[in-house]
Amino acid sequence: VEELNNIERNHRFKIIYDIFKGGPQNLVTLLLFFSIGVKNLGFPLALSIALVIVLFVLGISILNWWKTLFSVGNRSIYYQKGILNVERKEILFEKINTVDMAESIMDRIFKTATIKIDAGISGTQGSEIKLVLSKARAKEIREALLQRESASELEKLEQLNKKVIKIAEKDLFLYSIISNSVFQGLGIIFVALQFLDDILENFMKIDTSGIGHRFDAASNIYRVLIIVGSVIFLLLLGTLFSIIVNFIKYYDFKLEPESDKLNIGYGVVNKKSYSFDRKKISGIHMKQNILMRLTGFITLEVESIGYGDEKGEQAILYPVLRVKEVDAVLYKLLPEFVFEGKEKQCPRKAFFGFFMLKLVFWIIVTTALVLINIKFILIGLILLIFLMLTALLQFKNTALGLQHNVVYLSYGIFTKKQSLLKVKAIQSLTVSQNIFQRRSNLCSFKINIYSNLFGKEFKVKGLRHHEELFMNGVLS
Amino acid sequence: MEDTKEYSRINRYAVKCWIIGRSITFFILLAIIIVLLYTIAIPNTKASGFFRYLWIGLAAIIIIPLALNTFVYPFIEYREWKFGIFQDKIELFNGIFTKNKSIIPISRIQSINIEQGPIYRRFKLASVTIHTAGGIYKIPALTNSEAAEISENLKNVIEAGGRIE
Repeated sequence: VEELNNIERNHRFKIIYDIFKGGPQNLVTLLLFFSIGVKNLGFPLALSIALVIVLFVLGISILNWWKTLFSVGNRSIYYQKGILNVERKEILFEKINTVDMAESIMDRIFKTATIKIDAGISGTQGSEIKLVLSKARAKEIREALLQRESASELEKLEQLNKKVIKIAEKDLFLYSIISNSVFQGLGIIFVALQFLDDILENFMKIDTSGIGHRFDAASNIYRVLIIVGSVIFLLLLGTLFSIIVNFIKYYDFKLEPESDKLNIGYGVVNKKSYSFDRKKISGIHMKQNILMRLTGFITLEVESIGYGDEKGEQAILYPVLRVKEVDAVLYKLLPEFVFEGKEKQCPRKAFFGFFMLKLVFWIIVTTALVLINIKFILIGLILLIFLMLTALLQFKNTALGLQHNVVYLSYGIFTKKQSLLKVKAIQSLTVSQNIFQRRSNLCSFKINIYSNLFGKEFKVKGLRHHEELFMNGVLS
Repeated sequence: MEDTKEYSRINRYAVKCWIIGRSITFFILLAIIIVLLYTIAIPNTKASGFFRYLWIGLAAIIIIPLALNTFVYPFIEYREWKFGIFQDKIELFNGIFTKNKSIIPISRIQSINIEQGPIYRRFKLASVTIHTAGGIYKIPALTNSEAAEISENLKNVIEAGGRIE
């Protein structure tokens, strides 16, 4: 290890972050035990025990901070952590896939930044290296790790192509309305309502049950009006909530292409920025829910080893984009993923395959329903229409396309997903045929790729069997 | 084109191994189901015949597929299992109702292991597992010497093919 001369540590505030990492629960637990202690042991003894615990936790945090070292060399970053079990790592710059810089509210108060370094090691949980540093140093290290050209060259490059891509606020607004998060907003409101009920009753001593009585006493038209009104109100509230959340989350979205990197940054409260090495992007996923399909918008995500494995981390390339602009954007950002081949959809005879399993499910459920009460046959009919619709959507969404370096897949039911996968990232291919598919000469493809999730597979069903030959040709 | 390729089969003792291995699980599960059926399910239902038959029917729904999996499928699985190791790829064929063909390009293989459980050991068999960066594949029931030979061959092919980053 040549570069152990300039040893650095996390920012001192890391100690504070670690102590408060558990959130308020820790404090509540401590207070709870403290009050029990005071009751049973008396105040002085309880206080001294509490002090010992606090000092112990503080001591451990300080020791942890002291024992976590890193050193940035010319070609690699060295990292060491652990008090009893010492873990040492050295990651070569060229092996680094993504460097993610995030500023939480805490970070912004103390002017620090959290930097996460991921190398493409499949199966590791979380980031390989995570550091809390002063913002200035974090930026410096990020530049160093990503091996950028010298400052002057960088400036030249920037002047050459000042092509920072931004998302119009109008589009972001639209995205907030059409993305599924409207339902998220609704979910949060429903949970909040549960609490609201309790709060109203227990703390404010307001009896909410009276509302129910008044509702029962009202006329039918009045009741329908109340129900429709509340549903519309909730939907509006959910939409509003979603708009605010998405606006805050993706506000000031910037995508900055560099010679071999893509830098992405967004956020108002929690600022997030990450960089991908273009060469290490193994796939692109395009997602559209029904509303997005109707309005012609699409979300682009990136498949890159070492990113997107932590909770809430989605490697978003472009939160909202018009479908007709996709090719132009890909040409500009990742030309190797532009798909020019012809996609092949399922032949018409494949529809039965999509519907068959659902039909079996329907027969079982409907028989059971009818046995319970003959009136339930109506539910059965609605279910049948719904299942036929899902089968139809699945059938319409399925497609496969091949090009010498990229495989195109399209799948999904309500959310149409399209993936462009680099052939080099494909690890294996499974072609399967069930009895019915064999008869109509159809098959399913399962493509296994190198990803954060070990064993990540993409499956398309009901395609013509002779496509296998093309797949074979692409792979070998 | 496919016809000229040579595929190998797995060892015929595979059937015996699978039946023995699966029987252990099968009989344990069978015992549990029967005990549950006659101590809890049936005594707690009303004496009427319908529910009695319902419980027995439910038990049968669980037991019959398990029995098929233990005593019948091994023969079919053995018949369907085929594999081929070629210059640029490995092909595996298996499946009972759904026939699968898996293609693993040699360049994607990261490591090859030989595994042997207690039942396989009795029959002097072993399985070869093939690891890629994205998944694991297994060729079951090969004789010890076959397994060693395949793993040695694959290593040579991989070395000859060179690694593609």
